[in-house]
Amino acid sequence: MRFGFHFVITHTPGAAGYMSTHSSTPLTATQVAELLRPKPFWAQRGVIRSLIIALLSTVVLIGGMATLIGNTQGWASVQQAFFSAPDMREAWPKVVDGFKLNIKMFMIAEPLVLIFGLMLALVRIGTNPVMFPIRALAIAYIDLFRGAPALLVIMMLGFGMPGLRIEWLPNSPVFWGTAACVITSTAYTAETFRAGIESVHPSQRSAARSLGLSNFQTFRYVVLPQGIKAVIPPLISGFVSLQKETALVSTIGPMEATRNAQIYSALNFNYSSYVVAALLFIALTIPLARFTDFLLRRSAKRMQMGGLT
Amino acid sequence: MSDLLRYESVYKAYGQNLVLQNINLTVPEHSVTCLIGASGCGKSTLLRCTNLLEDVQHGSIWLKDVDLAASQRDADKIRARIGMVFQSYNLFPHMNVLRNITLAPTSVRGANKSEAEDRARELLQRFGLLDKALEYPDRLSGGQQQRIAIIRALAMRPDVLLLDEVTSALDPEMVGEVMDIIIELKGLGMTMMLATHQMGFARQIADNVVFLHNGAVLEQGHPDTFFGNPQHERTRHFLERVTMAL
Repeated sequence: MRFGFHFVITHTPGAAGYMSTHSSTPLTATQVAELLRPKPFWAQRGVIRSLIIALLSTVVLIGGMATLIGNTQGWASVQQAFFSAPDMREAWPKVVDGFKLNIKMFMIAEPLVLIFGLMLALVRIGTNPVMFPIRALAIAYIDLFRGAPALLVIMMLGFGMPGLRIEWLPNSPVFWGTAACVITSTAYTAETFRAGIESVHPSQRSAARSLGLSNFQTFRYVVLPQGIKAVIPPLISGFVSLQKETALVSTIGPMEATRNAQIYSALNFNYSSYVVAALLFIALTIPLARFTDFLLRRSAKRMQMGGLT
Repeated sequence: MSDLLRYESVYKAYGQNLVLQNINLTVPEHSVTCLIGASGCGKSTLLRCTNLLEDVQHGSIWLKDVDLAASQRDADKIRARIGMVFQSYNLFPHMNVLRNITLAPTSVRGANKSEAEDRARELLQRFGLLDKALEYPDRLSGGQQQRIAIIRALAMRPDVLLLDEVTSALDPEMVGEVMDIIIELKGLGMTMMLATHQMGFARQIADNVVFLHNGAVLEQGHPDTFFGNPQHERTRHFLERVTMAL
């Protein structure tokens, strides 16, 4: 898949025209050489046909949808409201400015989420009876913050914590918004780490223990590295969610991308600024999504080779 | 020859299920003991108990003058003296061959890294695998992985090596290369206990063949007498079936 296409190339031995090359006489050496000669991507059987079909299907679908939407009664006004180029240009600098704050919140939140998530997973996995109360708390935390809508947590912290009027606590909405993002994402990330660690086959533990490694050494050198490696793709999916979650912080006031878009929209009666914000978020998440695909494809390939026991 | 391992009326149960009953067995130093018997007869369990991966409910397993069954507290130290190799190799897939071999010597024995690596390379060289030192397990064939697993166990200089059906997961053409290592180790005087389904191999390498049935030792002896003149009806029946399968 050098070109990034995802066509299904079907090999149908029974297809007409292909059969004719099957005869009962053995091939000469030159014919065999011809058979084995590497062919460029486009010259392989079925590729041209797949390309044409994909192209036609895309034109029909996209063209059809464009015609349908374009012919609706209200399209002209919707286009003006959401996709007006002059409005987009005008909103752009402010939205981009706000987006820097989104990136800042994300960059601070993500490492914290990874650290706290792993710690929480470790507490939850442990079996030491002394740790029972802490383990119970960890489980309660995970249940609570996986269930609570992020928006609600952001508002409760953002409006509630400063409301307590505790002097030494910061009352900046950026701080509490980021904290709320960290708190909710940590609950998910902890479960991701736990799934990874529990996916490591028990035979790996046996092997490590049989060599004399202690329980801790076995975990540190053998189980944990494999567990984390197994969940890198879902962890990156979590990054993407967290990036988008920072937009919810707009509800408690910070001038981030969505908030600036909202202000522009309210002043100009035009929603194009929201589309600008959306495009910025999309542009940030696409590279991560492609990277995840790449990692998944690579690990699938490894599995096929039968490397992991 | 003094006894390296001695089992005294060992019992092991999983819940209501008795998997080892009244095992009495001695393994002299520098000897090779082959455990044979149908699947589920307790071969693997006996090896796993010896390596303290499972605990026994009754009886003693003496490694020289230490009772393994009573020393769960020092389990790590004792496991380091007993090497074990598994049917499914169980190499660490996230470490290259060299790191697989040096992990235990450096982290358990506290050997320094370069010394441990020299020793690992020496072992790899002896068994013809030096060119694989920096490969990851997923790039190796089953036979190569299993040979590395044996070397990984040897790197700890164990008193005894336990081999749990180490050729059962291999493609037929790779069985030989793993057997060759085991034969070579016998020549070097390594004490070994192996569970196996390969009767020909057991006959060739064993000093003592032990037939387990339903978790108990039914019959044992020198391979010539054991295979040449089995005493028990069940042993004869088992041997007939496995030879027919060949």
